[in-house]
Amino acid sequence: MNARERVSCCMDDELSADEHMAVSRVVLDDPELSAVWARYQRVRRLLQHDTTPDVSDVAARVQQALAAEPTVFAPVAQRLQRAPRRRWQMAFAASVALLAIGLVPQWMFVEAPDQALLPPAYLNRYLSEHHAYLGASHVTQPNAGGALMAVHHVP
Amino acid sequence: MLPAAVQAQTVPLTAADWLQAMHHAVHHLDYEGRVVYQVGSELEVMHLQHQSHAAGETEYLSALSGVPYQIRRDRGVMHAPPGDDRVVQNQHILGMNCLFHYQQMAPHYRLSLGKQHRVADRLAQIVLIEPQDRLRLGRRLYLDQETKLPLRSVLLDHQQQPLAQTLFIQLTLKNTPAMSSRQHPIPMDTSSDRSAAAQRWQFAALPAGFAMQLHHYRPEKQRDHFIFSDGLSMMSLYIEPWMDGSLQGFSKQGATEILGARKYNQRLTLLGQVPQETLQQMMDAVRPVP
Repeated sequence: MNARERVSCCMDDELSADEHMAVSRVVLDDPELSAVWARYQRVRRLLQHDTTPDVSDVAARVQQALAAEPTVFAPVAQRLQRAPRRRWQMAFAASVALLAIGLVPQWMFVEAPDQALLPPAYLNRYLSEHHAYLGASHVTQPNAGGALMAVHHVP
Repeated sequence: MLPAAVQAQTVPLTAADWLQAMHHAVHHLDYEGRVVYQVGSELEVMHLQHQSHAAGETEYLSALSGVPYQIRRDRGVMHAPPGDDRVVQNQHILGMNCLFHYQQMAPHYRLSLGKQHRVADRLAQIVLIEPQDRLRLGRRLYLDQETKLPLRSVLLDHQQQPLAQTLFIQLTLKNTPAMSSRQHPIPMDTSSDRSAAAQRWQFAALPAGFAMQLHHYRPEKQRDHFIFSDGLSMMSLYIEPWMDGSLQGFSKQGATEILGARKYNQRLTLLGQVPQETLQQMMDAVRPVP
């Protein structure tokens, strides 16, 4: 089985957990396979609308764990009701059920009614960069007086 | 080594001691487990693995529900497959969203200890972090009694309602606190190259408590990236030439607020897990250097 076939099998949940992990790590280091992976993801999500709950033991344990302490699950929606808004969701994601497992993220354009339906691609890039620093140890080093720690030029 | 205050177990730990120990544990222990991330009505189950070694930290985050993917952060560099918005949203689980600098955050948050609780079949101490004003969000942390790892972390709005939370449902430790005395090198250039590009922007009045932590400049894109923090919350500011179709106004992804604006013919984008008011104050503070 070549690498592409293994990625395909991975997407179809035909590999064991260990094999899946191995393929995932190979994909990260191979730009070509990474592109294949992304393409398969888009196709799969379009075909399946990514709304099928993953009914596994994990799901049961999660619900059990969260049930131990009541949690409000829709604070965002409550807050947004105060202002005119437009709830945006990825085109291939259908409406979702409370507590379903494995849902796509929701984007919400609150005060940008003229925005296109798709979020600008650069926002994902920004978020990804931002998250790379969030919780990273080098950002949390003590910074006496709040002074600028460093200025980089990224080639 | 663990902080001295933590090692002296005969003295009851303060909330600040717990947070200091948490920060150390998150970055220095080897652990893995199943993690649930919840925001609004979304739930995602992931496998998190953290390895601490002489060269730094390596972390893996794999989706266990929905379409599979894996993210790796190796010594501060993120490796993630493209094309999946879930990847972008969930990346911050790496590092357990654990930014903490006590001296900087202390004036702006009230820390206290809550009850003990059980999470992932382990005994946890609740640490409450309440903001002193409306420019930042609170946290309720459930820290493992033994290791001080955050077994559960809840981001709270001003009504104390959960905005998002991260929860371990299973945790395996690979070493003990006593074994992890490694000091990680800081994987960054600290030469403080204050070039002309770095001096193009100034900030008239930052939101109270926030200070600039980092600045990157990508000359080929003419893009500045500034990171600001109050010791607990972090926000990013991106500035690059204006392009039609860019975000103007507020947006949101998960628990992360986003504000876009066109100023000085530049595209300014601010984002972070902070209230919209904080992003707006930050946006109003940006000025070009005359």
